[in-house]
Amino acid sequence: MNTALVLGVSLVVVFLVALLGVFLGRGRNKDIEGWLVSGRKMGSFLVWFLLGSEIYTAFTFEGLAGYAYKNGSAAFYNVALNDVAYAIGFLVLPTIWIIGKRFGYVTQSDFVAGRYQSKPLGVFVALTSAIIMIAYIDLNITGLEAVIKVIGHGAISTTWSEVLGFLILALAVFFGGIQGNAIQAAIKDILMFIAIGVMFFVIPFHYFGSFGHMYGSFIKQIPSHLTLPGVSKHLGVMWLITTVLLNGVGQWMWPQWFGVAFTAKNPRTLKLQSVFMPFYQLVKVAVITIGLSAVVILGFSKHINGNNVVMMLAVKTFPEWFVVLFTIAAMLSAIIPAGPIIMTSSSLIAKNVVQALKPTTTEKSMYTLTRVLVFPLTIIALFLTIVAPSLIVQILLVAYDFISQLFPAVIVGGLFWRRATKQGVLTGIITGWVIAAVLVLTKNDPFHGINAGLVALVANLIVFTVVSYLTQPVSADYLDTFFEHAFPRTKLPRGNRGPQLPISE
Amino acid sequence: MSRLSQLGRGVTPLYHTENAFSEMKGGIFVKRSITAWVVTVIVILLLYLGAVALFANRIHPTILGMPFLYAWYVLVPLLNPVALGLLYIYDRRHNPQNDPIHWTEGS
Repeated sequence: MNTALVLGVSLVVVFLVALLGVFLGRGRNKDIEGWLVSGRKMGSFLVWFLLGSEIYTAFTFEGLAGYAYKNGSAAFYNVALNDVAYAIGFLVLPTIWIIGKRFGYVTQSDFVAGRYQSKPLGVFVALTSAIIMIAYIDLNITGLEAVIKVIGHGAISTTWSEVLGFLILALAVFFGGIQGNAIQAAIKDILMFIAIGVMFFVIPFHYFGSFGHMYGSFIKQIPSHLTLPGVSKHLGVMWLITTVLLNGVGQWMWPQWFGVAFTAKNPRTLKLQSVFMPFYQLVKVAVITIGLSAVVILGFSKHINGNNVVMMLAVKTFPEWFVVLFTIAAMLSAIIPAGPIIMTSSSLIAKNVVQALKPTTTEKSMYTLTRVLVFPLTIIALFLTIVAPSLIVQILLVAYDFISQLFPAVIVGGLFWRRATKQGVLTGIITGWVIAAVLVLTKNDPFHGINAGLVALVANLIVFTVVSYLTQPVSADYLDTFFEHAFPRTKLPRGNRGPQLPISE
Repeated sequence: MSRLSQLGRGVTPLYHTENAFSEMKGGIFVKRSITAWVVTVIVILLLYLGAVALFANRIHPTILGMPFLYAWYVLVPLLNPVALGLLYIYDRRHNPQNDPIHWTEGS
């Protein structure tokens, strides 16, 4: 089977999966609430896959194995950070869901503007996070590029395959909405599990004889890959701790993940997710194992691009017809998770920037604009990846650190600290961004062994606190109403609760 | 908007007047639920990070042939659902957020 055929078949399957999502998901698209957050009616099963899909992207499939290949055990930061985030999400997501339900919020910017009673702050958060998210879309496009490069041996134009792949995605989210994307995500996650599972179980027996022998040869041949800092001299235990803290609090700050919180049909669904999502982390351990085994099998060379080791191992180990499965899983994991990112950034721009600045925009034209914006945003992301890849690398370096700077605004002040003010939020965020950008772009990350983003976050929190105390907070009456349902000051007697209660006036 | 929200602030809704202290108690229950959550987050941070700082950053002893740090990161994702499951059970009993009256309005 030649490579063009493998890629062709894979693209056709990607198209069919997209079509299936559109077909099954289009029913709820009558307004923005239906299109973007599925009318807040999504059940546990789909929310699980949607969250899973958002978190286990092309990065998990290719990037994490590559990270383990290059940096050894430092890759475990990625196992820890999502679990810390789930634990944080246990209370944070349902609370935001309750507030969002009451006030009709569908984006993160809606929530921030509502909490601080400030439209300009909402516009600022929406616009800046939309820009950061475009860089994140580019990460997924790069993931697709890696697949095509390894499979196509450079014989097939990566540019055209990327354009094709992402136009399919733009059409799929335009017609299918978030419900369609969740169905595509379910298919993608299952294929990815199969692909990683097969690889995880076949490699030890094929190359080493057994799991025991594989671990034995890890310990003998690559001991510096098995502890921190080990092979990556600057990534020590302190780096692990600070990176997990920063990214753990930062995960829900990504507007597309924050938005998943609104899709659930009730807060319980979100709490159950937090309980069961950690099992998903074992998939990441399997990916890291594949990355470590690549060091032994392929040899440790600076000339091998880490992102390619999974596909290289797949090609080396399996017959060609089976490589098609890997290609499909990898392509889907590059394309599908970009869906909610594109949808969220287009809704941020249409709803929280355009409609906020021009209040005469009707709901209907705002919704139309949101959906149409999917295409220009996809095209901008593609254009930047193809024309200015080095710029994208720079933005991505700071993107995670930047987005985590929203933590004081959204969680500390957003939910718990009533004294927080919009001025505190704004000055804090800007302080954090400046410090993160300076440290990362002058190659001072990690800064004395500490993740630079966390240094920025600490400075952010200090400025946020001080400025908040110096400025006027939102009125207590307003906040009482805002938090009334989220943090009720009353508790119904047990066994006598629920909406069926007679409410007499 | 349903009738509940028209009741307005400061007016005690009639559905829980049977207990004069229930308003105060609700606040306590939210606080307890938040405390339980904070404790769980700290436990998970200790499992993942504290353990690595204290003892887990090593190859030996191996566990079922696995290097120690690796084995630790296989074990903890299995312990986490237990910790969060306990929190879930506690939260379900005590957290007033779970009363649908707080969020079923209008649906």
